[in-house]
This record gives sequence, structure tokens and C-alpha cells, in this order.
Amino acid sequence: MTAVLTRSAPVGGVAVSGAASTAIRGLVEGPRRALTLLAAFPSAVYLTTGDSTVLAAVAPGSVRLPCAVVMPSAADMPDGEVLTGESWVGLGGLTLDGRRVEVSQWWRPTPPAPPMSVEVLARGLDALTARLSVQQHRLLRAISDGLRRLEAAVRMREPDPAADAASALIGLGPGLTPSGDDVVSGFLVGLHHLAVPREPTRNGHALAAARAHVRDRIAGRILIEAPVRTTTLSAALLGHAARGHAAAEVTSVLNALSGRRPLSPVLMRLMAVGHTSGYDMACGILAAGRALLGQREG
Amino acid sequence: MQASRTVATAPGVSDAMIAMATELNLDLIEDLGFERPAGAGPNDMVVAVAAADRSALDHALSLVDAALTARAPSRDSAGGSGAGPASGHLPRTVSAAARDHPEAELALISVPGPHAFTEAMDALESGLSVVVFSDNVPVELEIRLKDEAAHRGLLVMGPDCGTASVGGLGLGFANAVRPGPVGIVAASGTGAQQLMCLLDAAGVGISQCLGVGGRDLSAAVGGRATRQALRRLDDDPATELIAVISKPPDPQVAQRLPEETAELATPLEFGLLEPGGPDLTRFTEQLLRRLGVAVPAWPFWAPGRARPARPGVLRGLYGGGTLAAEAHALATAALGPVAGDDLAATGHLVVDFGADQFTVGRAHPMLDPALRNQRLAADLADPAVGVILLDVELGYGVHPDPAGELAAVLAAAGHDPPAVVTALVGTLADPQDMDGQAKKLTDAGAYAFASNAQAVGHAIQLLQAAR
Repeated sequence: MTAVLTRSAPVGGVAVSGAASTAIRGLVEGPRRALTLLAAFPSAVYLTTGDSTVLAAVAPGSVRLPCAVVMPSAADMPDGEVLTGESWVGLGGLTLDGRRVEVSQWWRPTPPAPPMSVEVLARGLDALTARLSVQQHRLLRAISDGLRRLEAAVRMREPDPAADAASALIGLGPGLTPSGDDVVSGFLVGLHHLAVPREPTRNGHALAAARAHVRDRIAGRILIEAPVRTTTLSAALLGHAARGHAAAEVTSVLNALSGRRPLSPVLMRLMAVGHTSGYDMACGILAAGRALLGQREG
Repeated sequence: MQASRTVATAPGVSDAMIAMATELNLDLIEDLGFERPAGAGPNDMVVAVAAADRSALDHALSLVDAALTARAPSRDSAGGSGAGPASGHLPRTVSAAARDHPEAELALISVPGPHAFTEAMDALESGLSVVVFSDNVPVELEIRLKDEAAHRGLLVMGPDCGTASVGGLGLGFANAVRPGPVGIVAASGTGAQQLMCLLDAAGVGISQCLGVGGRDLSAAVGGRATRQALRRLDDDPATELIAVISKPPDPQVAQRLPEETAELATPLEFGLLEPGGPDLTRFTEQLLRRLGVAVPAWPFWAPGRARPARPGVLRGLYGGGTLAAEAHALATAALGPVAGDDLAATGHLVVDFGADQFTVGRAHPMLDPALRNQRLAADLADPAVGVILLDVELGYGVHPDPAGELAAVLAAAGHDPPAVVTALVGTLADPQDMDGQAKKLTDAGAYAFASNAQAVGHAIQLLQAAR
């Protein structure tokens, strides 16, 4: 035997690849669409396809928004605040300022629906209340009043008042994602994922159906109103929240409320999101959890 | 934004609001007595400041500029480079590290076996999945760890988990493989490496490789981690086909698996090393056909001057347990009885130098080949030996030049040594330079095969031809 097979040329190391949320899989794997810059920060660049679709290119270790592509390294983030090269998304990846990143890893922007009992949720909410009370942030008065109305309407299972209360918060308050939007995002994601197991009774089925009806009414209103009432980025994130999608920082708090991991560290991580966004979302989650517990008692 | 608060509390400022110009925020600004700015939309920022005089206003606006251009301290400068939290203290326990790094989801435990349980349990209680690289962990403790993990929705990989690839990160002995659609659950370290490297050679990448420890499909452990790992891969949107490989499993556990995995949505292929089952190479080909990918000719490298075959016995000196088991099974089928792990055997023999009895107080042969090299030198000088079979694993975490080490031993062999055939498990992207490693082996007169099964087949052919 003398044959020596020669192999094709080396591929030149490991392919440069990023990770993306499955919430934007259609966008990433779809046809080529040009991107324009919405906002640029050192660890996140927000881009839009021109309609209400927003995509975030984020550095490893920064907030994993449900519309994010995590770049392979901080060095792959664009240098300046203006994109000079071509930027587009599609065909399995993202080209940012002329540099191509193939998406080969995916994550789901939803928590893995942990089983949760009433007792566990109540305990988790108590812990969350205690930890939020020692934060130095406070919600604006108008926002905390609005959130109380939203919580009460959901507890009473009243779809229209709930949608009205949520609507009244959209675009309200400081921040690139206004504070009121963050509260509503946290609330919606909480409603999606904090549901305690359904009782195997007729009443239990009716309760679950009513709960879903209220949630869908709020989500429907948000999807219609947010694009004209708030910033493009915030509207896109509200759209994700309406579908139950959230940043990993949010889903890990929901997971902790199920008793599967300690709350403090993941809550600290959520608090570090934005200036007040993390706090605002945590307030929304807490209100959603209280409304769900109240539904059961009532 | 904190900018609003900073400015509102500045001297001479009676009211301030900095916000995006949404309808509701413009209403608020109007309520505060400001004029509504014309033409401002939700993507504009509005800065409203009511100040006592011009200088107070200028000062307030300079505060706005400062607040908006200030950079938050980055994670890197806060000690993100593995240096621990900003306080400068290094964590002393796994749970302390988990508190300092709430973004962490996985702990790698590599401590002497008797202490591994404590550390792994600490990790699970902190909400982390665990890779237990350590071996010599009692099976009862392995079961307790895996039950705790299942209760918490976490995963225990190991004990004795030699290789894993999670979220694009290689752990343990890891080959540089391309990302792709195949997810692997492996109760076998070198088996997983062989599978990943052959897939890579065929142009197919992997999504994740979850090692579950060689005992997971035993009667005692009963596939506890395999079930968790399968669920995890089923949940992974990047995984389109799941491959399960294992050292010879308990027959009853193996029989239950298809039923237990019926609810998974992702297609599944089982490559359990059972008598009569496919070897790893044939299993890889089965996967490729299922993916609709052409099966390539597996790479091999022949020496320029091949040694003439001579009659004698087969000696398989392996570092990889699963590769040794595969070689043992294939050789037994072709040659009749083959001794395993009995260094005093005089006939055909296949030894796994990575087995527990050879690694107490000593590193794994993939790191420290001294013990195997010693035996190799002896077999090279033994006139009764016809062919020597070896495995060479490349990748991260293993010896930086394994072929060079072997070549030195081969070069020192005396006159008319037996033929040498190697299984070269690696990828072109591995740090050792696969082609360079193959050249060192062929220059030393050895054959190199990317497929272990083909290497064994070639060794058997050489023996039979010389008979």
C-alpha cells in the first residue's frame, strides 16, 4: 500500500460564529435585508430594517436581548458610532460594517417553563418584594399608580381595563426604553411564565382560559400601539415581551422564582441592566406574580 | 435614566426632565410648564430644564452632557478576566464563585475523586450544571448527584467526563470542530472525539456534545444523565439530529431507551457499542447518510517506506477507553481470543492505559504517555509481536506533540521492529497541526488512520497477510 491521500486545504481555523435568539431566526435565516443604525453603545449596537424590526448586535457578556446576536468577541463590535461599511442581516448571519458573522448557536429567549406551586411562587414573590424594597430606585409616581391599576385589572380578570392600564404606561418615563415600557415588558413576560400549575378542576380550566384571555388582550393592544407611542427599540422589545420573549437576565429571575436557583445573584444581574430598566422590569414581574396569586385566591 | 435626577438636583435648577419624546413624556413636560417642542418624535430625546438663571442652566446642561457620555465601568475592568469580583477576593467555594458570577451556568469539577461529590453538590445547589472531570467517584454518589440534578432541571456530566462541548465551548479533552447540526450525548470520551472528528472530516459540525460519564448506561445508574442530556439537546434549537453513543451499555437500560425517548421531537440515532452493533466509523457513516451528506473516504497516511509485515501477535496499546474497547471487539471477531488489560498476556492483547487502575496517582496517558511508551518500547523489541496498534488524540487539553513523543520511541527501536498502525483522532483545526502529526508518524514508519476501525482493520490485514 503506497497511496497517501491528500486532504483539502485547511479551513483556516474555527469559523467565526455568533449566537442568536430564536426569536429572530426568521430574520437571520431569511433573505438579505439592509440594516440602518438606530443607536450605538460600546457593548450594544441597535439596528433596524426600516420597519419596526430591531436587531441588536451585542458584545459577549452584555445583556442578551430577545432580538440580539451575540458577537464572537468584543473586537467584532463596530468601532465608531457610525457604520461606514455595508450592514445587512440574512442568509444565516449578520454583516456589520462589512464584517461577516455566521450564526451557528441559538438560544431560546423564553425560560423552560419550570413547574411551580402556589407556595413556591408566594415565597419567591416575598423574597423579590424584600429585595426590591432595599433598592435605591423608585418608580415614578405616575408609573407605580398605572402598574397598580394594571395589577388590579388582571387580578379581577378584566381584559379591557387591563389593556387600558397597560396602554397608559407605554412611552411614559425616562430612558431609551421608557420606564413605563420596561414595567409592562416585565409584567407581560411574568404573565406568560409565572402561571402556577392548572388545577385539574373545571374551575381551574376556566381560570386558565380567563387568564390567557386577559394576557392576550393586553399583548394585542401593545402590539398595535407601541410602534407609534414609543421609541423604535422599545416598541420592538415590547413586541417580544407580548410573545413571552425576554432577555436572559429576565428569564433567569423567573427561573429563580420557581425555587430552582438562588434569587439574589440573578436579581443583581437584572438590576445591572440599563440605568433603571432592570429595576422597572423586576417591578413588572412582581406585579404580574401578585396578580396571578390574587386570581387564585379570588 | 439617572441623568434626570442628577440635573434636577443641581443648584439653581427647579425642574428637569430628560426623556425620549414620546407622547406621554411630552404631556408630562407640558404639565411641568414647559413648551412642547415642535417636530420631536419618540426616537428623539428631549431635555427640559427650568433654571433660576443662565449660568445655572449652562451648568445643568453640562451635567446632561457629562451624564450622557459617561461610560459605565465595563465588566472587563471590574475583574471579568477570571480575577473574581471587584472586591479582589478570589472565591473559595463553588457557591461563592456562583454568587460572584451569576451569569455562569456550568461548573467544571476536577479534583481528586473522593472530594468531587462535595464540590459537584455545591454547584448543583447554586443552580449550576456540572462537568465532573474527576474519576474514582463511587457509583452511589454519582446516582445522588444525578437525582439532585434531575430534580433541579440541571445536568451532571460525568464523573470521568473526558470531553464535552457546551454552547460552543470545549471542556476537558476537546477537538476544534466546526459548529453544526449534530448534538451528541456520550457515555464515552474518546468515542465522542472519534465521532466528532470523523463528522468534521466529512464537513459536518456539532451543536453540543454532552458527556454523561462512562457508567451512565450501566444497570445501577440507569441512564439518569442521558435522559437529562437528551431533553437538553431536544430543547436546543441548533440541534437537528441527536447521536447517542456509549461504551457497552447494560442490555436492559439500552432496551428501555427508545421507549423513554419517544416524546423527543428531535430525530435520534443510537450508536451503542454492543456485540454485533456498528463500530464508531460505521455509526458516523449512518449519521451522514441520515443527514444526506456523502460519506467521504476517511483520511489515512501511509509511510513512505512501509515495513514488511511479519507474523506474530497483535498488541493494542491505547490511551482512549472506548477506542480500546472498539479495537478489542473488532480484533476478537477477526483473530479469536484477545486479552484485555492483562499486561502479562503473551498472545493478542489490547490494553486501555486510561483505565482507573493505571491512572491512580498519575495523569491520564493522553497527558502523560510515559507508561504506554515504556510498554511500547518493550513490544517493539519483542520478536513475538507482529503488529502494534496505537491511538493518538489531538485537540485542546492533551499533549502538545503526541506524535513526536511516539516517533521518538519508534525511532529508538532496534533492527526489524514490528509494523505500527495508529488511529489519529483529530481535526485540521486542532492546535497540534494534524497533517504535521501524521507526517511525524509516517516518517517514523507508522501508518495513520483517521478512523480507529480502519486502523484496526489494517492491522488485522497486515497480520493475516504475513501468516
